[in-house]
Amino acid sequence: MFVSGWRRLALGGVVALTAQVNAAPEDDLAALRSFYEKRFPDIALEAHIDGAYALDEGKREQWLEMEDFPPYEIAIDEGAELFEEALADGSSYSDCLGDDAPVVKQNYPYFDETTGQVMTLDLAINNCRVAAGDEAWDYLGPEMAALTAFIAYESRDEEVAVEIPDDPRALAAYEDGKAFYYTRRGQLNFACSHCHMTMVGNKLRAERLSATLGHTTHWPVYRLKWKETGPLHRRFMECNSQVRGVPLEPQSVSYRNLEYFLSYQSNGLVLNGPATRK
Amino acid sequence: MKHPLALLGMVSALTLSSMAWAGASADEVEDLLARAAAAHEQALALEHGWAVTEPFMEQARQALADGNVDAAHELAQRALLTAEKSVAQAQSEAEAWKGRVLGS
Repeated sequence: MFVSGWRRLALGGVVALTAQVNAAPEDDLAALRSFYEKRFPDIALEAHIDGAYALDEGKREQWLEMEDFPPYEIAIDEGAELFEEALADGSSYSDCLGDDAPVVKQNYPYFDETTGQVMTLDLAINNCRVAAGDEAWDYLGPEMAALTAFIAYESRDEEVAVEIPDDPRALAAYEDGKAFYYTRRGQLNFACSHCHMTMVGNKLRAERLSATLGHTTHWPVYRLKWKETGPLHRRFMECNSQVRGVPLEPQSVSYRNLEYFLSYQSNGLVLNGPATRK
Repeated sequence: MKHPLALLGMVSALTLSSMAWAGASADEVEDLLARAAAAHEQALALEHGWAVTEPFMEQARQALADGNVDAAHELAQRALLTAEKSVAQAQSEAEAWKGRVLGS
């Protein structure tokens, strides 16, 4: 929970490295970290990977007890089986996702220069399936949740290292994600930043509002409200609905760009998915 | 002098509004719904649709089908208002978000 010097140095190193790639995203990252350091001086930046449970000791204790028998374990087991199943053309997910698979979550999202769009892990999985002659999975369905849960579990403790390559399209995707984050939506007229920056740490009803830092490290998540494991984009949809906006489609360009922006802000933090949230 | 005039103006406006509303026809409701649908489509294209607009439109259509033109008219007005507000939000936020960026 408390700031550790070497971690802060490591995070600073990531800041310095990414600064050479593109100044604007690096400035965003530094400003965001400075904001949370000032807002929560007693909480280490890396602790935010636990979301609201980094900010509320009582809720953290309850959450840690849940982690003794985590409800996402079933999804991990199912995902392990799916990972071993051959695709329609006899190839495997390792053939498609790379030799390091299933330890690949740290490579996503990335900017795909071929398509000129942000590539997420979920989209890559479906691309593998379609290329092999299989049907694409529902992005909100149990198979996608299971396989991504297994990959996330195997990728735990890998560091987030999202790059914004020297390509104006990549920077445009990042900026689009940033615009989405700061843009008011819905009848309640809220931007993501209102809950996760302006009011971060406060309560909405009984729930503590988490920091943006670390928002993408722990997905997919078993959400008690959903009674199942689900993806980050389902949470985006839920956020948009909660402010009485019409949610976008999962894996839409805008949601992928938002994921790109948010993931970049978590550079240097470790992956800790899947996770449990209320 | 200002207060009585203001009061008279308010009463007149409310009366006129009430008369216009009371005289609503099914055609007017359909016109409101068409305008609401068009504005809502515009908001959706801008990824700024509001979740309340479509239910208002559906409720208005149902009220019209039930023969309750007055209720349909009110609901259609709400649909149009929310649709227009959602488009206005999209337009104003095209620039306004920049003022919220940290360090801006």
